[in-house]
Amino acid sequence: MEYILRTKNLTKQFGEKFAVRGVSMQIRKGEIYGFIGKNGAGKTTLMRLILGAAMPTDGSIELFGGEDENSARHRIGALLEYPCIYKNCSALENLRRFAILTGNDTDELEDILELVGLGKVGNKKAGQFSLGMKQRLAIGIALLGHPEFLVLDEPINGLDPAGIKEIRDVILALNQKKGVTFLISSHLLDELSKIVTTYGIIKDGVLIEQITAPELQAKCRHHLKIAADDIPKTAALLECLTDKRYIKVGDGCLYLYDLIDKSDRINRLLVNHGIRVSELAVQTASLEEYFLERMGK
Amino acid sequence: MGKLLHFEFHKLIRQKSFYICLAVLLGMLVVSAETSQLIYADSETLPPTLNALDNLMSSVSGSVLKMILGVFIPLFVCEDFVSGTIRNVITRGYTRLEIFFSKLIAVLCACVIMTVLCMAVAYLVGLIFWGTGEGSFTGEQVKILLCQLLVTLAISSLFYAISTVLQKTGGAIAVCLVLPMVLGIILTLADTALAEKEIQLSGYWIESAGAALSSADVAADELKKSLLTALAYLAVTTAGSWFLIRKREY
Repeated sequence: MEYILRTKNLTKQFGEKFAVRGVSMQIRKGEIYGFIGKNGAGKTTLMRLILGAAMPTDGSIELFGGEDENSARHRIGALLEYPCIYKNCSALENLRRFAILTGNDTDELEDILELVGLGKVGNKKAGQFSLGMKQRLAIGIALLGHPEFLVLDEPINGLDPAGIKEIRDVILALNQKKGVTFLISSHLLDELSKIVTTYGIIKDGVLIEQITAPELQAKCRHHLKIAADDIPKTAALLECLTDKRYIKVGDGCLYLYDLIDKSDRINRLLVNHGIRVSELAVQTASLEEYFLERMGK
Repeated sequence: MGKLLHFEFHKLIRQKSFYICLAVLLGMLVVSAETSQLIYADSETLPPTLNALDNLMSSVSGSVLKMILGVFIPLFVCEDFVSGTIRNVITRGYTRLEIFFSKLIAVLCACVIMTVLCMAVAYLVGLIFWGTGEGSFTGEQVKILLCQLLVTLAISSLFYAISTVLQKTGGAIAVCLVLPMVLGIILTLADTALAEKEIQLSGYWIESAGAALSSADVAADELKKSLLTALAYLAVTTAGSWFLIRKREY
Protein backbone atom coordinates (compact mmCIF):
# COMPACT_ATOMS: atom_id res chain seq x y z
CA MET A 1 0.00 0.00 0.00
CA GLU A 2 1.50 3.31 -1.06
CA TYR A 3 1.14 6.07 1.50
CA ILE A 4 1.28 9.72 0.57
CA LEU A 5 1.31 10.84 4.17
CA ARG A 6 2.03 9.14 7.44
CA THR A 7 2.36 10.96 10.71
CA LYS A 8 3.52 9.39 13.91
CA ASN A 9 2.66 10.84 17.29
CA LEU A 10 2.54 14.33 15.77
CA THR A 11 2.24 16.93 18.50
CA LYS A 12 2.10 20.71 18.55
CA GLN A 13 2.10 22.54 21.81
CA PHE A 14 1.65 26.28 22.36
CA GLY A 15 2.79 26.88 25.91
CA GLU A 16 0.72 24.58 28.07
CA LYS A 17 -1.95 24.04 25.44
CA PHE A 18 -1.84 21.14 23.01
CA ALA A 19 -3.15 22.19 19.60
CA VAL A 20 -2.36 18.77 18.16
CA ARG A 21 -1.68 15.79 20.37
CA GLY A 22 -0.12 12.51 19.35
CA VAL A 23 -1.74 12.34 15.93
CA SER A 24 -0.83 9.24 13.93
CA MET A 25 -2.64 9.26 10.62
CA GLN A 26 -2.20 7.72 7.19
CA ILE A 27 -3.37 8.86 3.81
CA ARG A 28 -3.12 6.35 0.98
CA LYS A 29 -2.39 7.34 -2.61
CA GLY A 30 -5.57 8.26 -4.46
CA GLU A 31 -7.65 8.88 -1.35
CA ILE A 32 -9.78 11.90 -0.66
CA TYR A 33 -9.29 12.27 3.05
CA GLY A 34 -11.82 14.48 4.82
CA PHE A 35 -10.87 16.18 8.03
CA ILE A 36 -13.72 16.86 10.41
CA GLY A 37 -13.57 18.72 13.67
CA LYS A 38 -15.05 21.66 15.48
CA ASN A 39 -13.52 25.14 15.30
CA GLY A 40 -10.23 25.10 17.16
CA ALA A 41 -10.05 21.30 17.12
CA GLY A 42 -6.61 21.44 15.49
CA LYS A 43 -7.40 20.79 11.81
CA THR A 44 -5.58 23.82 10.45
CA THR A 45 -2.63 23.38 12.83
CA LEU A 46 -2.27 19.78 11.71
CA MET A 47 -2.35 20.89 8.07
CA ARG A 48 0.24 23.59 8.81
CA LEU A 49 2.49 20.97 10.38
CA ILE A 50 2.12 18.69 7.38
CA LEU A 51 2.92 21.56 5.02
CA GLY A 52 5.90 22.85 6.99
CA ALA A 53 4.31 26.19 7.87
CA ALA A 54 4.56 25.25 11.53
CA MET A 55 7.06 23.07 13.33
CA PRO A 56 6.02 20.07 15.40
CA THR A 57 6.86 19.92 19.09
CA ASP A 58 7.13 16.17 18.80
CA GLY A 59 6.48 13.35 16.36
CA SER A 60 7.30 12.80 12.73
CA ILE A 61 5.87 13.34 9.26
CA GLU A 62 6.56 11.01 6.36
CA LEU A 63 5.63 12.26 2.91
CA PHE A 64 5.61 10.14 -0.25
CA GLY A 65 7.10 7.16 1.52
CA GLY A 66 9.92 8.91 3.32
CA GLU A 67 11.20 11.40 0.77
CA ASP A 68 12.99 14.46 2.16
CA GLU A 69 10.22 16.67 3.57
CA ASN A 70 11.10 19.83 1.67
CA SER A 71 11.60 18.14 -1.68
CA ALA A 72 8.39 16.17 -1.10
CA ARG A 73 6.53 19.43 -0.54
CA HIS A 74 7.39 20.49 -4.09
CA ARG A 75 4.84 17.81 -5.05
CA ILE A 76 2.13 19.26 -2.82
CA GLY A 77 -0.36 22.06 -3.50
CA ALA A 78 -2.06 23.79 -0.64
CA LEU A 79 -4.73 26.22 0.42
CA LEU A 80 -4.46 27.13 4.09
CA GLU A 81 -7.20 28.94 6.03
CA TYR A 82 -7.75 31.91 3.73
CA PRO A 83 -6.81 32.85 0.16
CA CYS A 84 -3.17 33.95 0.20
CA ILE A 85 -2.96 36.12 -2.89
CA TYR A 86 -1.45 39.41 -4.08
CA LYS A 87 -4.43 41.73 -3.96
CA ASN A 88 -2.78 44.41 -6.09
CA CYS A 89 -2.17 41.98 -8.93
CA SER A 90 -4.50 40.43 -11.45
CA ALA A 91 -5.53 36.80 -11.10
CA LEU A 92 -3.27 35.93 -14.03
CA GLU A 93 -0.30 37.75 -12.51
CA ASN A 94 -0.88 35.91 -9.23
CA LEU A 95 -0.66 32.62 -11.08
CA ARG A 96 2.30 33.84 -13.11
CA ARG A 97 4.24 34.67 -9.94
CA PHE A 98 3.67 31.35 -8.23
CA ALA A 99 4.20 29.49 -11.50
CA ILE A 100 7.82 30.61 -11.27
CA LEU A 101 8.12 28.56 -8.08
CA THR A 102 6.38 25.52 -9.50
CA GLY A 103 7.87 25.65 -12.98
CA ASN A 104 4.54 25.78 -14.82
CA ASP A 105 4.42 26.90 -18.45
CA THR A 106 2.68 30.23 -18.85
CA ASP A 107 0.37 28.60 -21.44
CA GLU A 108 -1.12 26.46 -18.69
CA LEU A 109 -2.16 29.43 -16.59
CA GLU A 110 -5.16 30.32 -18.73
CA ASP A 111 -6.34 26.70 -18.48
CA ILE A 112 -6.08 26.78 -14.69
CA LEU A 113 -8.07 30.02 -14.59
CA GLU A 114 -10.72 28.37 -16.76
CA LEU A 115 -10.72 25.30 -14.55
CA VAL A 116 -11.45 27.31 -11.41
CA GLY A 117 -14.02 29.47 -13.17
CA LEU A 118 -12.00 32.68 -13.45
CA GLY A 119 -11.37 32.53 -17.18
CA LYS A 120 -13.22 35.75 -17.88
CA VAL A 121 -11.72 37.80 -15.06
CA GLY A 122 -8.08 36.82 -15.37
CA ASN A 123 -6.98 40.41 -15.85
CA LYS A 124 -9.04 41.83 -13.01
CA LYS A 125 -7.25 42.79 -9.80
CA ALA A 126 -7.59 40.07 -7.18
CA GLY A 127 -8.31 42.71 -4.54
CA GLN A 128 -11.60 43.46 -6.30
CA PHE A 129 -12.69 39.83 -6.19
CA SER A 130 -15.45 38.51 -3.95
CA LEU A 131 -14.47 35.99 -1.26
CA GLY A 132 -15.61 33.15 -3.48
CA MET A 133 -13.52 34.38 -6.40
CA LYS A 134 -10.48 34.80 -4.16
CA GLN A 135 -11.05 31.26 -2.95
CA ARG A 136 -11.14 30.03 -6.54
CA LEU A 137 -7.91 31.85 -7.30
CA ALA A 138 -6.28 30.31 -4.22
CA ILE A 139 -7.37 26.88 -5.42
CA GLY A 140 -5.90 27.73 -8.83
CA ILE A 141 -2.59 28.58 -7.13
CA ALA A 142 -2.73 25.27 -5.25
CA LEU A 143 -3.18 23.47 -8.57
CA LEU A 144 0.04 24.92 -10.01
CA GLY A 145 2.88 22.49 -10.55
CA HIS A 146 0.65 19.46 -11.14
CA PRO A 147 0.63 18.47 -7.45
CA GLU A 148 0.19 14.83 -6.56
CA PHE A 149 -1.19 15.71 -3.16
CA LEU A 150 -3.52 18.63 -2.48
CA VAL A 151 -4.13 19.93 1.02
CA LEU A 152 -7.20 22.14 1.06
CA ASP A 153 -8.34 23.82 4.24
CA GLU A 154 -11.99 24.85 3.91
CA PRO A 155 -11.77 25.10 0.10
CA ILE A 156 -15.45 25.85 -0.45
CA ASN A 157 -15.66 28.67 2.06
CA GLY A 158 -17.48 31.61 0.56
CA LEU A 159 -18.52 29.78 -2.60
CA ASP A 160 -22.07 29.86 -3.91
CA PRO A 161 -23.85 26.53 -4.55
CA ALA A 162 -22.81 26.54 -8.21
CA GLY A 163 -19.24 27.28 -7.19
CA ILE A 164 -19.29 24.48 -4.63
CA LYS A 165 -20.38 22.05 -7.31
CA GLU A 166 -17.72 23.28 -9.74
CA ILE A 167 -14.96 22.84 -7.16
CA ARG A 168 -16.34 19.45 -6.17
CA ASP A 169 -16.23 18.42 -9.84
CA VAL A 170 -12.66 19.69 -10.17
CA ILE A 171 -11.61 17.69 -7.09
CA LEU A 172 -13.32 14.54 -8.33
CA ALA A 173 -11.89 14.93 -11.83
CA LEU A 174 -8.34 15.43 -10.53
CA ASN A 175 -8.75 12.47 -8.20
CA GLN A 176 -10.26 10.10 -10.72
CA LYS A 177 -8.43 11.13 -13.88
CA LYS A 178 -5.03 12.11 -12.53
CA GLY A 179 -4.93 10.16 -9.29
CA VAL A 180 -4.38 13.25 -7.15
CA THR A 181 -4.65 12.57 -3.43
CA PHE A 182 -6.56 15.06 -1.30
CA LEU A 183 -6.66 16.12 2.31
CA ILE A 184 -9.68 18.37 2.74
CA SER A 185 -11.23 19.99 5.76
CA SER A 186 -14.69 21.48 5.65
CA HIS A 187 -17.54 22.39 7.90
CA LEU A 188 -20.00 21.55 5.16
CA LEU A 189 -20.29 17.89 6.09
CA ASP A 190 -22.87 17.01 3.49
CA GLU A 191 -20.62 18.42 0.78
CA LEU A 192 -17.67 16.56 2.19
CA SER A 193 -19.63 13.32 2.22
CA LYS A 194 -20.14 13.60 -1.55
CA ILE A 195 -16.44 13.20 -2.32
CA VAL A 196 -14.55 11.85 0.66
CA THR A 197 -13.25 8.28 0.73
CA THR A 198 -11.80 8.37 4.25
CA TYR A 199 -12.67 10.53 7.22
CA GLY A 200 -10.50 11.69 10.09
CA ILE A 201 -12.31 13.05 13.09
CA ILE A 202 -10.29 15.36 15.28
CA LYS A 203 -11.30 16.60 18.71
CA ASP A 204 -9.23 18.82 20.99
CA GLY A 205 -6.13 18.11 18.92
CA VAL A 206 -6.57 14.35 19.09
CA LEU A 207 -7.48 12.23 16.07
CA ILE A 208 -10.28 10.22 17.63
CA GLU A 209 -11.26 8.21 14.58
CA GLN A 210 -10.19 7.35 11.04
CA ILE A 211 -12.93 5.68 9.10
CA THR A 212 -13.51 4.90 5.43
CA ALA A 213 -16.67 6.10 3.71
CA PRO A 214 -18.15 2.56 3.39
CA GLU A 215 -17.40 1.89 7.07
CA LEU A 216 -19.03 5.13 8.01
CA GLN A 217 -22.02 4.35 5.84
CA ALA A 218 -22.37 1.03 7.63
CA LYS A 219 -22.10 2.70 11.00
CA CYS A 220 -24.67 5.29 10.00
CA ARG A 221 -27.22 2.56 9.20
CA HIS A 222 -28.85 3.32 12.44
CA HIS A 223 -32.04 1.27 12.81
CA LEU A 224 -34.92 -0.47 11.11
CA LYS A 225 -38.26 1.27 11.15
CA ILE A 226 -41.17 -1.17 11.12
CA ALA A 227 -44.76 -0.02 10.62
CA ALA A 228 -47.25 -2.88 11.10
CA ASP A 229 -50.87 -3.45 12.08
CA ASP A 230 -49.95 -5.19 15.36
CA ILE A 231 -46.96 -3.53 17.00
CA PRO A 232 -47.18 -5.38 20.39
CA LYS A 233 -47.18 -8.75 18.60
CA THR A 234 -44.30 -7.57 16.36
CA ALA A 235 -42.31 -6.56 19.43
CA ALA A 236 -43.00 -9.93 21.09
CA LEU A 237 -41.79 -11.78 17.99
CA LEU A 238 -38.64 -9.70 17.67
CA GLU A 239 -37.79 -10.24 21.34
CA CYS A 240 -37.20 -13.86 20.36
CA LEU A 241 -34.50 -12.74 17.92
CA THR A 242 -32.70 -10.01 19.84
CA ASP A 243 -32.36 -8.34 23.19
CA LYS A 244 -35.26 -6.23 24.42
CA ARG A 245 -33.12 -3.11 24.73
CA TYR A 246 -32.71 -2.96 20.91
CA ILE A 247 -36.45 -2.59 20.45
CA LYS A 248 -38.25 0.69 20.87
CA VAL A 249 -41.87 1.48 20.21
CA GLY A 250 -43.21 4.92 19.46
CA ASP A 251 -45.33 6.97 17.02
CA GLY A 252 -47.21 3.79 16.07
CA CYS A 253 -43.98 2.20 14.79
CA LEU A 254 -41.31 -0.11 16.05
CA TYR A 255 -37.62 0.84 15.88
CA LEU A 256 -35.13 -2.02 15.84
CA TYR A 257 -31.51 -1.14 16.61
CA ASP A 258 -30.14 -4.58 15.83
CA LEU A 259 -30.37 -7.03 12.93
CA ILE A 260 -30.31 -4.15 10.46
CA ASP A 261 -28.89 -6.45 7.77
CA LYS A 262 -31.68 -8.99 8.34
CA SER A 263 -34.66 -6.99 7.13
CA ASP A 264 -35.74 -9.74 4.68
CA ARG A 265 -35.73 -12.37 7.45
CA ILE A 266 -37.70 -10.10 9.78
CA ASN A 267 -40.23 -9.33 7.06
CA ARG A 268 -40.74 -13.06 6.39
CA LEU A 269 -41.11 -13.78 10.10
CA LEU A 270 -43.76 -11.10 10.57
CA VAL A 271 -45.71 -12.08 7.45
CA ASN A 272 -45.58 -15.75 8.47
CA HIS A 273 -47.20 -14.76 11.77
CA GLY A 274 -50.01 -12.90 10.04
CA ILE A 275 -48.73 -9.42 10.66
CA ARG A 276 -49.34 -6.92 7.87
CA VAL A 277 -46.16 -4.88 7.39
CA SER A 278 -46.79 -1.52 5.76
CA GLU A 279 -43.21 -0.17 6.09
CA LEU A 280 -39.86 -1.77 6.70
CA ALA A 281 -36.97 0.59 6.10
CA VAL A 282 -33.35 1.06 7.10
CA GLN A 283 -33.04 4.53 8.55
CA THR A 284 -29.60 6.14 8.50
CA ALA A 285 -28.02 8.82 10.61
CA SER A 286 -26.53 11.69 8.63
CA LEU A 287 -22.81 12.40 8.72
CA GLU A 288 -23.69 15.42 10.81
CA GLU A 289 -25.50 13.29 13.39
CA TYR A 290 -22.65 10.80 13.45
CA PHE A 291 -20.12 13.59 13.77
CA LEU A 292 -22.03 15.27 16.60
CA GLU A 293 -22.35 11.95 18.36
CA ARG A 294 -18.59 11.37 18.13
CA MET A 295 -17.95 14.90 19.30
CA GLY A 296 -19.92 14.08 22.39
CA LYS A 297 -22.83 16.45 21.87
CA MET B 1 17.02 28.88 -4.72
CA GLY B 2 17.20 29.84 -8.41
CA LYS B 3 13.41 29.73 -8.74
CA LEU B 4 13.01 31.71 -5.56
CA LEU B 5 15.39 34.40 -6.78
CA HIS B 6 13.51 34.52 -10.08
CA PHE B 7 10.26 34.85 -8.08
CA GLU B 8 11.64 37.72 -5.96
CA PHE B 9 13.08 39.58 -8.95
CA HIS B 10 9.85 39.12 -10.88
CA LYS B 11 8.02 40.73 -7.96
CA LEU B 12 10.60 43.51 -7.71
CA ILE B 13 10.36 44.39 -11.39
CA ARG B 14 6.57 44.48 -11.19
CA GLN B 15 6.44 46.32 -7.87
CA LYS B 16 4.89 49.75 -8.46
CA SER B 17 6.32 51.08 -5.20
CA PHE B 18 9.83 50.43 -6.54
CA TYR B 19 9.30 52.80 -9.46
CA ILE B 20 7.43 55.34 -7.35
CA CYS B 21 10.20 55.40 -4.73
CA LEU B 22 12.82 55.65 -7.47
CA ALA B 23 10.97 58.54 -9.12
CA VAL B 24 10.59 60.35 -5.79
CA LEU B 25 14.29 59.82 -5.01
CA LEU B 26 15.47 61.18 -8.33
CA GLY B 27 12.90 63.98 -8.25
CA MET B 28 14.13 65.02 -4.81
CA LEU B 29 17.71 65.20 -6.11
CA VAL B 30 16.63 67.58 -8.86
CA VAL B 31 14.53 69.67 -6.46
CA SER B 32 17.42 69.82 -3.99
CA ALA B 33 19.81 71.00 -6.70
CA GLU B 34 17.27 73.53 -7.95
CA THR B 35 16.83 74.83 -4.38
CA SER B 36 20.60 75.28 -3.98
CA GLN B 37 20.68 77.05 -7.32
CA LEU B 38 17.93 79.45 -6.22
CA ILE B 39 19.62 80.12 -2.87
CA TYR B 40 22.89 81.05 -4.53
CA ALA B 41 21.30 82.75 -7.52
CA ASP B 42 22.01 86.22 -6.16
CA SER B 43 25.50 85.38 -4.91
CA GLU B 44 28.41 86.54 -6.98
CA THR B 45 30.34 83.33 -6.45
CA LEU B 46 29.10 79.81 -5.93
CA PRO B 47 30.34 77.92 -2.84
CA PRO B 48 33.26 75.67 -3.77
CA THR B 49 31.20 72.56 -2.90
CA LEU B 50 28.65 73.25 -5.61
CA ASN B 51 29.85 71.18 -8.53
CA ALA B 52 29.02 67.88 -10.18
CA LEU B 53 31.67 65.86 -8.27
CA ASP B 54 30.68 67.14 -4.83
CA ASN B 55 27.02 66.74 -5.65
CA LEU B 56 27.78 63.13 -6.59
CA MET B 57 29.81 62.46 -3.45
CA SER B 58 27.18 63.90 -1.10
CA SER B 59 24.14 62.42 -2.88
CA VAL B 60 24.14 59.02 -1.15
CA SER B 61 25.02 60.15 2.35
CA GLY B 62 22.07 62.57 2.44
CA SER B 63 18.84 61.61 4.17
CA VAL B 64 16.72 61.23 1.01
CA LEU B 65 18.06 57.86 -0.11
CA LYS B 66 17.82 56.43 3.41
CA MET B 67 14.26 57.70 3.76
CA ILE B 68 13.26 56.19 0.43
CA LEU B 69 14.89 52.86 1.33
CA GLY B 70 13.15 53.01 4.71
CA VAL B 71 9.83 53.15 2.89
CA PHE B 72 10.52 50.82 -0.03
CA ILE B 73 12.15 47.92 1.82
CA PRO B 74 9.27 47.36 4.29
CA LEU B 75 6.76 47.71 1.43
CA PHE B 76 8.56 45.06 -0.59
CA VAL B 77 9.49 42.68 2.21
CA CYS B 78 6.34 42.80 4.33
CA GLU B 79 3.93 42.25 1.42
CA ASP B 80 4.32 38.48 1.58
CA PHE B 81 3.86 38.39 5.33
CA VAL B 82 0.84 40.71 5.36
CA SER B 83 -1.00 39.00 2.49
CA GLY B 84 -0.01 35.53 3.72
CA THR B 85 1.56 34.66 0.36
CA ILE B 86 4.67 33.56 2.25
CA ARG B 87 2.63 30.44 3.06
CA ASN B 88 2.34 29.61 -0.63
CA VAL B 89 6.14 29.62 -0.80
CA ILE B 90 6.80 27.69 2.42
CA THR B 91 4.21 25.03 1.68
CA ARG B 92 5.91 24.41 -1.68
CA GLY B 93 8.95 23.11 0.16
CA TYR B 94 11.23 26.14 0.12
CA THR B 95 13.18 26.47 3.34
CA ARG B 96 13.07 29.52 5.57
CA LEU B 97 16.78 30.10 4.90
CA GLU B 98 16.27 30.09 1.12
CA ILE B 99 13.35 32.49 1.45
CA PHE B 100 15.30 34.77 3.79
CA PHE B 101 18.33 35.02 1.51
CA SER B 102 16.39 35.33 -1.74
CA LYS B 103 14.47 38.28 -0.33
CA LEU B 104 17.67 39.81 1.07
CA ILE B 105 19.43 39.48 -2.29
CA ALA B 106 16.48 41.11 -4.08
CA VAL B 107 16.45 43.95 -1.54
CA LEU B 108 20.20 44.50 -1.86
CA CYS B 109 19.93 44.52 -5.66
CA ALA B 110 17.14 47.08 -5.47
CA CYS B 111 19.36 49.10 -3.16
CA VAL B 112 22.27 48.92 -5.63
CA ILE B 113 20.00 50.08 -8.48
CA MET B 114 18.66 52.97 -6.44
CA THR B 115 22.11 54.01 -5.18
CA VAL B 116 23.78 53.85 -8.58
CA LEU B 117 20.92 55.78 -10.22
CA CYS B 118 21.01 58.28 -7.37
CA MET B 119 24.74 58.81 -7.93
CA ALA B 120 24.34 59.06 -11.72
CA VAL B 121 21.48 61.55 -11.53
CA ALA B 122 23.25 63.61 -8.84
CA TYR B 123 26.32 63.89 -11.07
CA LEU B 124 24.23 64.72 -14.12
CA VAL B 125 22.21 67.36 -12.26
CA GLY B 126 25.41 68.83 -10.82
CA LEU B 127 26.90 68.91 -14.29
CA ILE B 128 23.85 70.71 -15.70
CA PHE B 129 23.58 73.26 -12.88
CA TRP B 130 27.20 73.94 -11.92
CA GLY B 131 29.59 72.11 -14.23
CA THR B 132 32.47 69.84 -13.24
CA GLY B 133 34.18 72.32 -10.89
CA GLU B 134 37.86 72.19 -10.06
CA GLY B 135 38.03 68.68 -8.66
CA SER B 136 38.85 65.73 -10.87
CA PHE B 137 37.40 62.25 -10.78
CA THR B 138 40.09 59.80 -9.70
CA GLY B 139 40.41 56.25 -8.46
CA GLU B 140 40.12 57.57 -4.90
CA GLN B 141 36.63 58.85 -5.57
CA VAL B 142 35.66 55.49 -7.04
CA LYS B 143 36.81 53.83 -3.81
CA ILE B 144 34.78 56.29 -1.76
CA LEU B 145 31.72 55.72 -3.92
CA LEU B 146 32.05 51.94 -3.58
CA CYS B 147 32.39 52.35 0.16
CA GLN B 148 29.27 54.56 0.15
CA LEU B 149 27.46 51.84 -1.73
CA LEU B 150 28.52 49.31 0.89
CA VAL B 151 27.29 51.58 3.68
CA THR B 152 23.94 51.93 1.88
CA LEU B 153 23.76 48.14 1.58
CA ALA B 154 24.42 47.87 5.32
CA ILE B 155 21.60 50.33 6.02
CA SER B 156 19.37 48.33 3.68
CA SER B 157 20.18 45.13 5.53
CA LEU B 158 19.26 46.88 8.79
CA PHE B 159 15.91 47.90 7.25
CA TYR B 160 15.51 44.37 5.93
CA ALA B 161 16.11 43.00 9.41
CA ILE B 162 13.50 45.37 10.86
CA SER B 163 10.98 44.39 8.17
CA THR B 164 11.47 40.63 8.51
CA VAL B 165 11.26 40.76 12.28
CA LEU B 166 8.19 43.03 12.46
CA GLN B 167 6.42 41.66 9.34
CA LYS B 168 3.97 44.57 9.40
CA THR B 169 4.32 47.22 6.71
CA GLY B 170 3.23 50.27 8.70
CA GLY B 171 5.20 49.40 11.81
CA ALA B 172 8.32 48.53 9.83
CA ILE B 173 8.22 51.82 7.86
CA ALA B 174 7.81 53.78 11.09
CA VAL B 175 10.71 51.99 12.77
CA CYS B 176 12.94 52.26 9.69
CA LEU B 177 12.38 56.01 9.55
CA VAL B 178 12.57 56.74 13.26
CA LEU B 179 15.01 54.19 14.68
CA PRO B 180 18.17 55.45 12.90
CA MET B 181 17.42 58.99 14.05
CA VAL B 182 16.71 57.95 17.64
CA LEU B 183 19.72 55.63 17.84
CA GLY B 184 21.97 58.40 16.47
CA ILE B 185 20.78 60.74 19.20
CA ILE B 186 21.12 58.07 21.92
CA LEU B 187 24.68 57.28 20.88
CA THR B 188 25.61 60.97 20.83
CA LEU B 189 24.12 61.38 24.31
CA ALA B 190 26.00 58.28 25.45
CA ASP B 191 29.25 59.78 24.16
CA THR B 192 28.56 62.97 26.09
CA ALA B 193 27.69 61.08 29.25
CA LEU B 194 30.70 58.79 29.07
CA ALA B 195 33.04 61.67 28.21
CA GLU B 196 35.32 59.12 26.59
CA LYS B 197 37.68 60.73 24.11
CA GLU B 198 39.37 57.61 22.80
CA ILE B 199 36.26 55.83 21.55
CA GLN B 200 33.25 57.68 20.17
CA LEU B 201 30.27 55.30 20.09
CA SER B 202 28.42 57.52 17.62
CA GLY B 203 31.36 57.13 15.24
CA TYR B 204 30.43 53.48 14.86
CA TRP B 205 26.82 54.20 13.99
CA ILE B 206 26.24 53.28 10.37
CA GLU B 207 24.92 56.72 9.42
CA SER B 208 28.04 58.34 10.82
CA ALA B 209 30.10 55.96 8.73
CA GLY B 210 28.15 57.15 5.70
CA ALA B 211 28.41 60.82 6.62
CA ALA B 212 32.20 60.50 6.89
CA LEU B 213 32.26 59.55 3.20
CA SER B 214 30.29 62.51 1.90
CA SER B 215 33.17 64.47 0.43
CA ALA B 216 35.53 63.85 -2.47
CA ASP B 217 38.49 63.74 -0.11
CA VAL B 218 38.36 61.09 2.62
CA ALA B 219 41.34 59.94 4.69
CA ALA B 220 42.39 56.33 4.22
CA ASP B 221 41.78 55.55 7.91
CA GLU B 222 38.29 56.96 7.74
CA LEU B 223 37.57 54.97 4.60
CA LYS B 224 38.80 51.79 6.26
CA LYS B 225 36.74 52.46 9.38
CA SER B 226 33.58 53.06 7.33
CA LEU B 227 34.24 49.94 5.30
CA LEU B 228 34.64 47.76 8.38
CA THR B 229 31.63 49.34 10.09
CA ALA B 230 29.48 48.65 7.01
CA LEU B 231 30.65 45.04 6.79
CA ALA B 232 30.01 44.54 10.50
CA TYR B 233 26.47 45.96 10.19
CA LEU B 234 25.77 43.77 7.18
CA ALA B 235 26.91 40.66 9.02
CA VAL B 236 25.27 41.46 12.36
CA THR B 237 21.89 42.58 10.99
CA THR B 238 21.69 39.60 8.62
CA ALA B 239 22.70 37.06 11.26
CA GLY B 240 20.55 38.72 13.93
CA SER B 241 17.37 38.86 11.87
CA TRP B 242 17.88 35.29 10.65
CA PHE B 243 18.32 34.14 14.24
CA LEU B 244 15.10 35.88 15.25
CA ILE B 245 12.92 34.58 12.42
CA ARG B 246 14.42 31.17 11.64
CA LYS B 247 11.74 29.27 13.53
CA ARG B 248 8.83 31.58 12.85
CA GLU B 249 5.58 29.92 11.91
CA TYR B 250 3.16 31.06 9.25
